[in-house]
Amino acid sequence: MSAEKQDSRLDTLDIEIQCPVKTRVLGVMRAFVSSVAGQMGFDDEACDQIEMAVDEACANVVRHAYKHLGVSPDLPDCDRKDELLADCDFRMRVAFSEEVLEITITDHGIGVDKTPPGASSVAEYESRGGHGGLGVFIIRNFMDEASFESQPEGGTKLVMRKFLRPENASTE
Amino acid sequence: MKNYELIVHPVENGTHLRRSEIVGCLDSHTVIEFEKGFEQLLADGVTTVFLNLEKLSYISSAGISALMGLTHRLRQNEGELYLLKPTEKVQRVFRTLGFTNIFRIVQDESQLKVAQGD
Repeated sequence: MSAEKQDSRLDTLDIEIQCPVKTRVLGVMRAFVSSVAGQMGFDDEACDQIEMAVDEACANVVRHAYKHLGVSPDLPDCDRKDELLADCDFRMRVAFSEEVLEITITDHGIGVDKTPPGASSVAEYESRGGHGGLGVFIIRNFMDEASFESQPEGGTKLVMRKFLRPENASTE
Repeated sequence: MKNYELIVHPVENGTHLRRSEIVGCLDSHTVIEFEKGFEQLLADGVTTVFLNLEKLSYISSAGISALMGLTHRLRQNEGELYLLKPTEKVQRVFRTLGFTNIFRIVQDESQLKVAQGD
């Protein structure tokens, strides 16, 4: 089963949050998903991994999705167009059943041509001088499934899944 | 809503050494402030830093990247960044991702006494 299609097992709760592209939302997103994961029955380590994967995914959107418009904390003050902040947002959808937590993060930013290049190992990340790629590496390694796709209308959709029993994860 | 503070303790013995601690979280929201805090220390000639992580509640890839950058810069000057007593949560992240082989993680301040005696 790929992560592109909605999981048919998700027939219970479904929550969607609309977020501004500001780094100060990251703590709120982390607290929310960590709480959901804990209530689902994930252990502390799994909750931490879900929290970190979501943080990395949201941080990527905040830092990169709208950079081409001048909306990114990475830009110097002189290049920022804060007046466009109100037009830039992303959505996080959290759906969970008894066995799987599915988190979908969607933006309408610049999009990705293909799966973002993450580091394949920490050794590779270190060889890059510690710059870039660690966030995607964390998403891939801390979640059971993760897929990035460009949206036809622009932007990117990332679907991540974590199973209460990892043996239920796809082996494809 | 900034859950972060970097505390740098006064010079105790020599200008090359600093004890410091992070309270709160080190993520994309707080990392710029963290990097600014250490720029001044590096400009002052500090080469060895003991960074207490007992009160670091969360670290993201941005925080790890900042610690990597600081580690590399200190080692270029034959110094070191010692990460003291990370919480179990932070230690687990370092261990799972493989950073325990990169960072110098210590559980007590005995190494501090060695550094002070240099």
